[in-house]
Amino acid sequence: MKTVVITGSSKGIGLGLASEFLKKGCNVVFSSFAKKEMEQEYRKACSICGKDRVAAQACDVSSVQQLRQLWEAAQHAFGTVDIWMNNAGIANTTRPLWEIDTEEIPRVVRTNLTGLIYGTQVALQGMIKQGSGQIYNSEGFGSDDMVLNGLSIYGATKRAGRYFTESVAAEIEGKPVQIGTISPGIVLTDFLLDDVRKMSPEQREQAKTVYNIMVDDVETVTPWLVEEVLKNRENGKRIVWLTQERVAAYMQDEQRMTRDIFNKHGL
Amino acid sequence: MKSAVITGSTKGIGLGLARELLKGGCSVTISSRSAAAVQREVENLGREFDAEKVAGCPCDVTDYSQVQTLWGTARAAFGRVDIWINNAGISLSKIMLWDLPTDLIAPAVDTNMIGLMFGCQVAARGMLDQGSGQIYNMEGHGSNDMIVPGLSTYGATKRGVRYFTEALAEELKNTPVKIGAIGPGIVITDLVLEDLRRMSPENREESRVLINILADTIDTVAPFLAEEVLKDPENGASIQWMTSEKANARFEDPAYLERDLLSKHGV
Repeated sequence: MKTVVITGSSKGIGLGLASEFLKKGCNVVFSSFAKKEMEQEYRKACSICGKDRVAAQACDVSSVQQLRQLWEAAQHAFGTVDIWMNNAGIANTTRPLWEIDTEEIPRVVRTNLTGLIYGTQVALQGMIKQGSGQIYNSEGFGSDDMVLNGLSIYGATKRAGRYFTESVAAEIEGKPVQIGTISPGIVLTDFLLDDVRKMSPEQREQAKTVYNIMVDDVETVTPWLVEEVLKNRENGKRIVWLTQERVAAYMQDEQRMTRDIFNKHGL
Repeated sequence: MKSAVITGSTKGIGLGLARELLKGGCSVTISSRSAAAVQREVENLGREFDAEKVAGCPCDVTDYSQVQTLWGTARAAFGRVDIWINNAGISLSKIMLWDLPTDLIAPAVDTNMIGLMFGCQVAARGMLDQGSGQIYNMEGHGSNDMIVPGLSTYGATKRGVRYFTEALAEELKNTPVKIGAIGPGIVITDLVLEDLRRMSPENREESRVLINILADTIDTVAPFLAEEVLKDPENGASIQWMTSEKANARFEDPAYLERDLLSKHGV
């Protein structure tokens, strides 16, 4: 059975992906820089699937050393690493650049872009040696070139990450390794809620309008993403949940056009 | 007349721009990480132009406080900063990701993205306070989505720069501060020559042909870029030396098909 490593899998989409891969019978290596949360999820997973299919390794993706340790831990636990997902990512406070705390800039860039490059290099080197494997990098707002006041830093890291993945796909053409991206759409997670919470009132109203129509649950999106990943053989593939067709369908969906999902979150 | 600051301006395109802006009557504050280089070029430029219009300040753009000091130095010297060009960047040789020395990654991302973002934040804050100003971000390979295997990391930072500039243009929309992008095209630099020398004979021949047709010297490109900057274009402007029309025209022009920029460099 396939072994999957997922960075940033102690919550949100990463956790959702991990759960779905476990349901499909895969081995999963949990990872996060939030050690306690990660261990909590690891224990939960063990109690459901048994210890044989689960491992956990704390990792701050902005450290290539820790990513190498993550690779080694995965290899030690399961022998081969078949799928590596660079999912870990953080957002900046949604405010114009000049109103953002300067420290957010290196934090976001070093996690989302430097960490992505490191993670890709570590997995790629390991997989070339292994003779097989697939890497998936997570897209996010900005990957498709959309801009939004307040998300310049995050968006730039996501656009750069998508370009990076396409470029690496060109580099590995012909090798027994594939790389691609997953685009989970707009998912209701703490990440999203925190973001909305920190917005200015006008921004929040605008965001809520769009999100009420477009948002999906982790449980809706991750099974589909996992299925697509498991059947993919193509190098350079983009696995996109929120396609233009889906957006069009959502805008005709009366339930979505009238609901208020933020009320119960106090927003 | 206008006061300009250019990061990474003791050599290459940055220095070329400094000279052209001085020719255009601007006051210029040059900068780089090397205090010795800054001093040397301040002296050189002061001899060639009006020494009263030249200032210098060593600055590592990856250190926010140094970027603030650069702003402060320019402002103290000339009263205000009208033009701020984030030009400082690290180029990487063409090396496939799995062979790329890992310790080259962080400096490139730190300088090309974080340093650029710091520069934008300092300049935006200062210019909003001043009531006016133009910020320019230097593009490069990757900005227009073109992929060249071996340049994934560098290209990703430059794709990020293009996105970031567009996102900031959106954020600055209703303010008196403007931001734009500068694309210098392919410029003959030491790194380009080094890369050519290291290539296999077949790859070198292919690259030689392309570079002889598409590349230019700093002396050719800098005057055009400076002139466009001094026209004070709209927010969100994109000043491009090489366009696809120009490129296509060159492929049909005997003057370019027979051009030889490289022999004199021993390539």
